[in-house]
Amino acid sequence: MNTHDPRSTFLVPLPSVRRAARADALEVEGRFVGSRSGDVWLVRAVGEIDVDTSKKLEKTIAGMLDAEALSIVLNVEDVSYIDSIGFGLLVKTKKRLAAKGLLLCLVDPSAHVRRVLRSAGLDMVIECFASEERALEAVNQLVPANGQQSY
Amino acid sequence: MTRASHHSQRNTKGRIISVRLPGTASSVAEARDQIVGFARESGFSDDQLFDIGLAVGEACANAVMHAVSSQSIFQVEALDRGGEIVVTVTDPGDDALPPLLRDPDRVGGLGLFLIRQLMDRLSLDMSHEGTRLTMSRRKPAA
Repeated sequence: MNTHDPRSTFLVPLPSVRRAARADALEVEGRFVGSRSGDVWLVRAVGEIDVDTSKKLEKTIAGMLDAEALSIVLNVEDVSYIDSIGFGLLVKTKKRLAAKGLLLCLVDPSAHVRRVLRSAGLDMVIECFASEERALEAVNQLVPANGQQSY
Repeated sequence: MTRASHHSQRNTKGRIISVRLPGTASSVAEARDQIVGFARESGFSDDQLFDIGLAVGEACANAVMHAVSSQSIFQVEALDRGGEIVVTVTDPGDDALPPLLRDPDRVGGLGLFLIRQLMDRLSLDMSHEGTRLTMSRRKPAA
């Protein structure tokens, strides 16, 4: 809070910032996967989900759910960082899907991300699977909200 | 004034890094990188570096959301006190009550909750000059 901190006289320009291409900090791609036992949105996120980038994921998810409300399998194996804004987005998406009897699953979160999910108590809310195949199996076994098994 | 600046030096208390950044969302990752790099040199483990990075990210996200405008500058400082790292995030927001305290059920509240989980200690000073969040994490026993 001290604006007369003598250290501030030593402030120098930041030499090199690896964040030059911040727009590339998160890549998101979504795919429709249909099968005899059910359809899902498969989403793959690569990079960091934070206050700056989470809008990208939010937009992709919103676009898909507007096109068709389906369960979402979100592959986060290459997500190195996720903050409370990202967790907030996951919880919001989970609630939106759950209201329609649909699922949100995560695939292969890193040990770091899993640990934080546990700390925040979100491991009890959002299911995680070791592979996309396992997650797709789980989603396809889901009994829809109207009580009818999808065949 | 430069848009972003940093400085690291050693004083009698230990190594210090000081980073000043504009109050925009893209600054958060930059602050995280700087402090994690500093903590890495201080000998923290990978797990601890992730925790410190996330805690710094949460505190800076709050400072950015709290920023009066994108022209606002927030400051992040880290001090390596030997056995622990102390990180301070200061923003000049003119509102004495930071967003993360307004509604504990909202996302900002989760940010504060996460900082408590990730760090050993957290304190929040509020005044008419702005908000200062101080957090510390001990190094693993050698």
